[in-house]
Amino acid sequence: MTPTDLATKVSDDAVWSARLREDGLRAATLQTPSQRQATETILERSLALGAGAVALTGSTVRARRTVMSDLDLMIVGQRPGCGGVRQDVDVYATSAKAFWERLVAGDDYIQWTLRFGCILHDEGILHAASRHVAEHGLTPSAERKLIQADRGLRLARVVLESGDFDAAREQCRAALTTVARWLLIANGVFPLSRDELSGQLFMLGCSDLAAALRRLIHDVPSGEELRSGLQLGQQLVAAAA
Amino acid sequence: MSPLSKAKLAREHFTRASAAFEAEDPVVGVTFLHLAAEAAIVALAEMNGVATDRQHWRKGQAAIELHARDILSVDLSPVLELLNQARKDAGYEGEEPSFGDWTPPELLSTVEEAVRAAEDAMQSVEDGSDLADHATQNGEDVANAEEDRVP
Repeated sequence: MTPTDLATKVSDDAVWSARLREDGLRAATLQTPSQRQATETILERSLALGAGAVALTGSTVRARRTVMSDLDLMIVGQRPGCGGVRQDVDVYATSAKAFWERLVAGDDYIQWTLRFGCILHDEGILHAASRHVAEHGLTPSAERKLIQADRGLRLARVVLESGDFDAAREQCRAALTTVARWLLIANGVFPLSRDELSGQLFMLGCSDLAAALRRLIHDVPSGEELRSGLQLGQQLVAAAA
Repeated sequence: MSPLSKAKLAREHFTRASAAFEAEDPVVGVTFLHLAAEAAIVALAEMNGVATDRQHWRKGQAAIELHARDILSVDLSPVLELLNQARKDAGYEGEEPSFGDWTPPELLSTVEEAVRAAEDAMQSVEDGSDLADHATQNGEDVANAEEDRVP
């Protein structure tokens, strides 16, 4: 290692350490006491299972939670149990191998977490991943998101056809969120949190999808509106295919 | 939606889940199995005065209470958690859902037990209401007869 390389590494390590300290404080500020307790429980359980990294992610870290927001955590390591946790928690757990494969394949959730997440624990994998993203100018893959959007729309349609509109709303919300993320990525815009997507879509000129998504997040759309929303999503996806 | 409708919905979702697993579509299967399990818990909870709301973790809490009160022979909360996470992971990555130590037939059988419990409870409520209707009808007949006797 040359003196310049060494200096760069020392500086990079210092920046990363500062981020970890700041993220810890940010996570504490952004969560309610019960959310903090839930996160602390998941973190402790993950560390007991030997997790390589744990990050708080999703709308909480953007301070844009809505009534249906989960507490999102990304774990590199084994999935801990969530028994006794008094919050809706969505744990994205992955092995180190799958984490790298997905990162390199352009997974937007991992990139999102590296960019906006509060890193609560890192034994080096998230630091290395952040460096990799910066050095290679990695951006989320639109192709990958399109596949997820197509799958989400199919599932939402099946649930909607069952006539269970409460369940269909949740599936449609997830599906249109994925369509929105795909559309933004395909247009070179990095998608923010769910409640910010409508604004980003409006800026992109996709006002119909923006309105449908907004209604799914903040209102209780009827079965007919759900059908129209899915149809719109399918048209957008079909046009890309 | 009434608890009676929820019990019916639980059975419908369970049937869809079974069919999807049989058709080797585990993503749809796990989605409907989770819906069936939650609908059964909500139906039983509402019929027994146990609080639930929209949040998934509260349905898990209700499952624990239903088991503690011997309304359900098994604590369904770990199954609810497993299915909730599995359906999200499978929907996102499109991969085969991971059920840990469980096999799909074991999960189907466990959830069906809860669905059956909800149906049995629904049947009891319906029988009770039939009896009540019958009693009301008898009461009305007596009242009508008394009216007839009024000069």
